[in-house]
Amino acid sequence: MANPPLDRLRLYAAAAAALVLAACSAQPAQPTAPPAPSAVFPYAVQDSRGNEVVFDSPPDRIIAFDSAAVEILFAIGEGHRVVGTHDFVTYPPEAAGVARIGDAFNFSIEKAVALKPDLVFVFFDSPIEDLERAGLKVLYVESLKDEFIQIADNIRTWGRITGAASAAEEVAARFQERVAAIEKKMENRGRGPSALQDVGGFWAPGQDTLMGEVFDLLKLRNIAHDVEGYAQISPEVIVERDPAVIIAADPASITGNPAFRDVTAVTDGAVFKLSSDALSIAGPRFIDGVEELAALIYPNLFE
Amino acid sequence: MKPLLPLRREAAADSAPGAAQRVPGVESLPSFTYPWRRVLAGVAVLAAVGIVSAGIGPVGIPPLTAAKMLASRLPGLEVAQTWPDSWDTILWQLRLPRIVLAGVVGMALAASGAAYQGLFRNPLADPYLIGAAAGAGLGATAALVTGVPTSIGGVSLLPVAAFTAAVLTVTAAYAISRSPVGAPGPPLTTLILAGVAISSLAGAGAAFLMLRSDPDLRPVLSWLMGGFISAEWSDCLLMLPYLAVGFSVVMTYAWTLNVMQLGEGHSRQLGVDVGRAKPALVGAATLMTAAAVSLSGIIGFVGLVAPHAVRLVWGPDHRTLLPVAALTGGAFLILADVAARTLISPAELPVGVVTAVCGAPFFLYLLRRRRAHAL
Repeated sequence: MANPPLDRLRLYAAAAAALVLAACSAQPAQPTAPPAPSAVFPYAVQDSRGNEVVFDSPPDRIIAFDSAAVEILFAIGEGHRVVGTHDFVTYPPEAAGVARIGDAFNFSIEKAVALKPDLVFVFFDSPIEDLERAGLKVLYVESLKDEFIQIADNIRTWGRITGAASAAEEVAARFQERVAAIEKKMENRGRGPSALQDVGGFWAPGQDTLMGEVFDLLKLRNIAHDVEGYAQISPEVIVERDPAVIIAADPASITGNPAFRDVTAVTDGAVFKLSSDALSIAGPRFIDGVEELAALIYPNLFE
Repeated sequence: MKPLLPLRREAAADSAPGAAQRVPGVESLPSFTYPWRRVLAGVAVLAAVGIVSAGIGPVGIPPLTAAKMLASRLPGLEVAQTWPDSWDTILWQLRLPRIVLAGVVGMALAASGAAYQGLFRNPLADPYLIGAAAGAGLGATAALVTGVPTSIGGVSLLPVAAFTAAVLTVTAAYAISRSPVGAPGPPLTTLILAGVAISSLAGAGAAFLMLRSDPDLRPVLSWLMGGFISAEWSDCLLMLPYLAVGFSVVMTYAWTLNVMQLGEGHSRQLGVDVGRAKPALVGAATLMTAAAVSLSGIIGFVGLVAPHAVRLVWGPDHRTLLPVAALTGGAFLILADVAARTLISPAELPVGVVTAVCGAPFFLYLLRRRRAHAL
């Protein structure tokens, strides 16, 4: 129950197409110039079922049932192709007018068909069969669960699919540059403070999550490192492990609790709330969230 | 063999000189010897479970040290502090409040369950039967997912919303099933059916709210699954008066519940005022359950299994059943919470999962062993 489907909409909000890991394995954050992408069709994408989905031309009417995909498409200037999405997409503001066709629990096939899409992108597999039976073209790629640098590859993939490869390359390269810049600043620093993220009710990400990876990048020691995925961590463990930084959805629930009075993050005034949900959606804004967190924790290093 | 139902107050001999002169009726029957030992044993077990579990948790405070830490707060005892300050916080601010809250919530749920099983003469009755849980769930979901602030001046509104909605739901079920012809309270079958129907309605309302809401449902889901992870002393203080009042009322009707096992008609012939017992029992059980649910979420199985377990072992006399079942429920829930905080440490399991996983097999074992039909 740690990750009910609806929850995942936000938390692991999926990225776009998966690319071969080779493209980003060795030095993921190096902004090396990749071979000039060409808007060449047919273009084949491997989906999470292992099938090849082939594009002969850019789809004009995309149902992007995924916050991250919507953000990516708008970021590369292809937002006009998005005709439908799910109920919880809140970014970018231009997406406000896009038709909504349901959420993880009720995916309206009827509404999907009525939008006459030439591509439906989903990050979970339950509606695939119905969509395909309705004669729709489906691309299914699971959400990113680690290696957030793959967001850049997902951006490039959407660029290839929509024939906007060079715009996508710019966005993806910028993303990688910003990650690399943080990596560089962190390079010569030793281990940073211990930290905890409380996304509400003591639910905390472990190390095998996108957030865990952000902790690594910022050299934070996640006190919930031995938690799998997202789980509720015992408050007594929080007291015992004494985090120096707490990122909380509701800071008052931490600072107002008498049990946490002597926790370093509370006595040092280091209980922070992030200004947006950027770190819960694996899209281009993810790096905004990383930079915000970096500036909160190392105010002298990042401005 | 034990009689199925202790219809008379056993200890008093029928031939006792005074008995014949009294007006025949429940009020005037001589009292039986109350099995205080059984109840005291229950209290001792509950206290022992509470103290032992103070030494068990994800942070490894050795049980002996935990005992010393407890003793150090006793007046007149000088115990040198050999433990870090953080352990004091963990024990006094985190572990003990959840032990106490689990204990009182377990008692409330088990007592309500026993009362409902007796009142409705239905072995499947639990404290949530006529809408308390579904109502509380709707209230809590509404408070969490709609834009209203969830706390005012540091006081969380969630328990208030859950409690209010639970009471309203049961009241609605009660009002709807009230019979128009001046019968003594609503027919119990109608009350169950109305309760079940209203529960479905409230459950559907909660599901709808969740579907239409912000996607981060974790707070709602954690709340619905129940637990003591955020228990504080103030929660225990809030819970205690409900338990005290509710339990006292239920105990007042213990004998009535015994007689009611014969059915409503027979009870009236025996001079038992069923009409007053119904609203009193439903009201007391609802207050206890609503308070419990609003502070710790929906924890299943305690209210169903604890009374049955006691009934299987010690028989169905409500005068003993109610207190012993309550004490058993408290001890059981404290132990379930120990498992919830240690099994996958440093993470926690929802305590409702633990009560079901441990409660169901134990109950089946009892059923098998006793081959009881005394439910």
